[in-house]
Amino acid sequence: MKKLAIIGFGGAGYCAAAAARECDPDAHIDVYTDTDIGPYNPMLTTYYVKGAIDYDALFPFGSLEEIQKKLKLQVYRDTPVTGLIPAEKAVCLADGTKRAYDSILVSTGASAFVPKIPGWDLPGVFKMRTAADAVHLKKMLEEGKIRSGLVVGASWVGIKVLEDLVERGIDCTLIDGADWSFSIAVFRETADRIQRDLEKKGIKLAFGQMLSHIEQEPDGRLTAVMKNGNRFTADTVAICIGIRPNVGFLKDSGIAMNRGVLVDEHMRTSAEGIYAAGDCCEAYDIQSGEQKNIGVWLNARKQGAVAGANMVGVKREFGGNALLNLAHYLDYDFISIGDVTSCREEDEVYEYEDERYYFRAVRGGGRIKCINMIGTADSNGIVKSIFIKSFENSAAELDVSAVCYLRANGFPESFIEFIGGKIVDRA
Amino acid sequence: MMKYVFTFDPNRCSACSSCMIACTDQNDIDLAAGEKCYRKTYDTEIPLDDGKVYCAYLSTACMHCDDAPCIAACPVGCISKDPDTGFTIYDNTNCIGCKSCAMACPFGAPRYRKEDGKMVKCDGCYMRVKNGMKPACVRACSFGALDCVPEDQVTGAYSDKACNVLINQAGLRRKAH
Amino acid sequence: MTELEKKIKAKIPGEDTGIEIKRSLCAVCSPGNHCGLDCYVKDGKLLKVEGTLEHPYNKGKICTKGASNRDYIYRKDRVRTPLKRVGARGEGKFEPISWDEAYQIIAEKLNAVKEQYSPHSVAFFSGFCKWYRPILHRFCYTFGSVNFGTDDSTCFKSTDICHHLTTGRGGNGPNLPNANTFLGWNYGGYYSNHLAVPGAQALKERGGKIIIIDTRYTPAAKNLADIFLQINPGTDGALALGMAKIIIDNGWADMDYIEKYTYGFEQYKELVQKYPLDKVCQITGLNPDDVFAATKLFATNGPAAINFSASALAHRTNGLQTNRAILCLSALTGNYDQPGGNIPSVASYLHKRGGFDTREMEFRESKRPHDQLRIGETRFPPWDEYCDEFQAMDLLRQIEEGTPYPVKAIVGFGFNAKMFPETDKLVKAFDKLDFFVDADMFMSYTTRFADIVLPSCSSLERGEMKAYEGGYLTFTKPAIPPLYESKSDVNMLCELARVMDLDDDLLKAGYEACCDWMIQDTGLTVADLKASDLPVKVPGAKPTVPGEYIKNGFKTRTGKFEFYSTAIASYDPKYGLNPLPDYVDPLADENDPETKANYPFHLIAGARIPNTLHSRLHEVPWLRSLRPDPLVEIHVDDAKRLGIGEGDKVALSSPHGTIHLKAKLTSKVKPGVLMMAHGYTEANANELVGRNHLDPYSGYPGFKSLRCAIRKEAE
Repeated sequence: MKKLAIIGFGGAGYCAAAAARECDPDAHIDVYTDTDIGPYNPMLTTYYVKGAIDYDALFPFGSLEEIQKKLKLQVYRDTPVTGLIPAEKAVCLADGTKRAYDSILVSTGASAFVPKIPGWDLPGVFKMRTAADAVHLKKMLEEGKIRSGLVVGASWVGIKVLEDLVERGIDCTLIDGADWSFSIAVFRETADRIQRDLEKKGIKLAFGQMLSHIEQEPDGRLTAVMKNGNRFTADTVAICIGIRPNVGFLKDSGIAMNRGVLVDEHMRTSAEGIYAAGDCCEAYDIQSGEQKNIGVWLNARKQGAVAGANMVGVKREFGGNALLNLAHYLDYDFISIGDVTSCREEDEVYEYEDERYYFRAVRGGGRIKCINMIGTADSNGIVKSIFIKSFENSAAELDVSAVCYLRANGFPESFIEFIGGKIVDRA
Repeated sequence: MMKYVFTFDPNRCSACSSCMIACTDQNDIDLAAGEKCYRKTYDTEIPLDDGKVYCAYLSTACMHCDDAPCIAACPVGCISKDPDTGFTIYDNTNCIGCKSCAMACPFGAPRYRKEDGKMVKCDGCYMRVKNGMKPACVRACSFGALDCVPEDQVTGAYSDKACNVLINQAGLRRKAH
Repeated sequence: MTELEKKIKAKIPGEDTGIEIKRSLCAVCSPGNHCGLDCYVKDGKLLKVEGTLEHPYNKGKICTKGASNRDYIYRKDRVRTPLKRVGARGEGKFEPISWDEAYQIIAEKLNAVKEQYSPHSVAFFSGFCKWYRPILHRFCYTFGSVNFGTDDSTCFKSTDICHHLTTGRGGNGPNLPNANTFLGWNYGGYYSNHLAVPGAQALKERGGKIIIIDTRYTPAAKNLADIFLQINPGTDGALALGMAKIIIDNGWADMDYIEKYTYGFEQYKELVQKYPLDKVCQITGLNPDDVFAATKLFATNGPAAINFSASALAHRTNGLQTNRAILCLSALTGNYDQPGGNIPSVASYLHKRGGFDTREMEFRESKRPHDQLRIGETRFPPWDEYCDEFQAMDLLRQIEEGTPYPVKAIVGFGFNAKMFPETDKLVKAFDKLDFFVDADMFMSYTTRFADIVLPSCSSLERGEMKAYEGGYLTFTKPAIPPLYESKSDVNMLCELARVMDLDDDLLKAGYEACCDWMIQDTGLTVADLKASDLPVKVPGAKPTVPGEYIKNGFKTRTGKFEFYSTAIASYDPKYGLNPLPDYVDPLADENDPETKANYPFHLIAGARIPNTLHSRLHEVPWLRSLRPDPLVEIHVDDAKRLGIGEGDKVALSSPHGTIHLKAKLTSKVKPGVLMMAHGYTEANANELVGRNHLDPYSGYPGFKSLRCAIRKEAE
């Protein structure tokens, strides 16, 4: 009987447990979680805050009890793993307990990063990642005292927090240290359009503003003070400047790491028998061929399932990541596909804009490098699929159904040409 | 698990759209309010390099992929496989309209419904199929372009006839189990 | 959701869900079809429709339009009660009145016209749906008017007249199960006659060959054609004559058949000598090799069947003779009334061939008055001889001019003014009427001009008798009760007959009594038919057997298939009609240099698209959503030259009017050709058609060949 440990129980941990159980009905599976709640999707937190879903819906796989029963797991609640000994394939707990396994999965996820600047812990300063964060914000908003808010970090989380506030009629300012929003994912030009459209919705923007510290005003309001001396005052401050993989407990383990734990296509780390999956790892990015931390729910689930199967001896591979960022807020959506930072001056640029859509795409070295699209939500899957196909075959063209679909959705012919042209199978 | 597949023969289709109307009738889709039908037909002309024009007639909806990427992509777990038909079905009670399923789908099958901010898509008329009936769109196709058959019957006549061409082109061919 | 809730949502019929399947028929199109429908009904409400699998006619299949029955029936603009006009004619202001009051007014007004002028000054006119025609026809005659007219004035009858002139019989459908080659002349199928497609598919699948001749590259051309000839619009007659020359020159003509069964071959042979291949290709815009290959295939890979359309070719000023030229190819190759060729047949009831006789003809003929000329009579001699209706294309003139006698009232059922060229003039002419009553399901463009509007119900809300191929008769039962205060058209007529106390006990006895009278020789009664949810086989119904008709001699003056029409030869030479099917330019009346220069495009108005038929389906939201705007299709090269982009607003104009619509760029039509669907109120193609742009043989308007100009309009 194989003995498995899963450290961290989010989407990746759950899918690993489910896959392992499916492949090996007899395996002994221990799960260590630092919470006493079931696996949930951090992306759902802001939807809970706005009332789109009930608290229970944060947990798409059911409660911890249900999962434990269904998958026959031994779950250690509120039991953070403090260290890992690769040579012994053992996990260490705070109380000194050490347990050895046949294989171990690190699926500890990531946490919202809040720098410990002065004022970070003032009441009214909040972050958004965990279920507890969501409960906290919802309660605060429901008290109805918040009239104005600052969102620091024009990030994927920041924009959703902003939506929660704006939909409740709260006057909002979006602040970021970069010169434009979503700067690591979108082109400057895309950001310009996004920002114009945000401003049309009555949102104030302030970019190029590095947060220094937060002060409390005599009336209880909060002032975010910038390194350049600018001051922004509001009832509440959200800090959404990014996430960090939860890999601190591995720092002495000798397991190869960058920001996250490096893994191969089987989700194996550098240490034999130790796997990693989800937001805490860096798997191969099909575009750069390098390992990258791409923290999205679908990746976490797929990687977890691959790891779980491999841990019980069933070979599976993770097909790789592509950089993908989708934002959908305030009846608006945009997507960035591919790595914006890989684009170079000499690359070929495509741009198109009408009332409904914005497109910007870059081609270089015979390949599509990055596509930004605004307003295309229904069609994103098709374009993403074309992008991924272009890595399998740089000469890939669009099939008839894709052409039909994009045309019917009002995509310009020139964009269809740019991302691959058309192929007609006249068999 | 009994599994059913949709087959499509592009050489029998004329984009007459009776499949779309039948889908609308079956699913009470409010086209007048701007809702979109789960199935969509296309009548498109594609210029070819030799100066000729290829006239495409197509009818597409959810392909009910074996390894349907939308299922795992949904953060609230709305989407699942119906054990009796193998179709990709959903319960959008908890749908947050995040469009992750649309981003995962290579066919653009999930559609965002503005009226209630939720995702909708073709469920293969799985309740009809379970009750011994054909899906509404198939029933309305007079030309034999669309069909829905148990997977083990997709042989011979269809194998050389671009069965489910769309799914094949996208490399998501349903795997035989 | 519980399992039961899921079943209810999925509309699964059963005791647990309370959803019942009721059988009815679809009547959104012409009675030439009328497919069996399964109506999913719960609590008197229609939930959805499907074709009836067990129905002998459509075997479960319905088309795009039929699939929309629910949306059609629950259209918001259904006429709900009888209405009386209170505003100016055309203004659309009405007030609801009771049925009794409506009948009283109608009786009074019609009798007043009858007294002041004559019963013939009341014209009875039927548009869609045509199912009640025997009753309306008899009502008209019993009332004393010769003037019964229908949309046959522009549909189907021209082809039928052509066939009667030439062969003495109608029908003449292609016998595909026995054919090796199908000459799909103007065969659209997919968008116009869905039940015709499976037969062609089957022929192709068993190795048969298909030739498609059309002005546009259709799904049939793509999916079915071995040879596709994209012909210049309206030049089909020249092609048929050119093909005949090739057939004769190459010795492919069936001389035994010709000798035995035909008349006028020598004159015909002489005629076709005028159409050598190069000249034919110049006229038709076709490639000589393609024409030769198609001709050879048709003539040497027999048996070969030809498609004849109800309107496509007939809607040209040379239409009847074009159809005659094509029909001649069937006899020339010995395919007429032979297995795998074209087989004549006789209608049993309402154009449907069931292989049994009813007394439909006698039902009306017994009441026919003979004391006046019908509207349009003496204008189109073949029409006069072969149709027992007035030719409505003369209605506008007669209302305007009042000669030879005035028309002062119209009793319309589904009257569609948009069917008429110069529609705008016709509705203006309604001002000269003393009275206009129109029954319709919907508040249509035309009902706005009526004095009284009567609410008709749909086929799903009534019982009706219907014959089907294969020897079937049916009498449907309502699937849902009539909506609002609507009634079945025939009930209105029989009730009105009682109110007016017409001298007609049978009519007054009601529709079912009339049907029983008409089917008295079949061995069945309405009660027998109603006992079944599906069509009932008529005892003794005989299938059409190829070869049986010609064995006993053709019902023409010569008893032969007439290449040279002795009927046409018998008409007064003043009409200038040609007994031989010679080709005439379809734009012959519009070819003066000035018109040519100002209106350089060839407009085909009324080309079929999948989601509409005539006018009433334009307003069905589901169908409208498939093509929300009226579109004119223009070749991409023409569009480029004129600076017209996809979806641009354009104006189409002719010497008779201008309409506004949007452009759809395509490569499916030839350069120089424009194509659009008809029946739109906001872009009514018939406002471009001149009232005298008519086929002199049939009186049919040249809807599908007229000169036109297109220009881009400012946004």
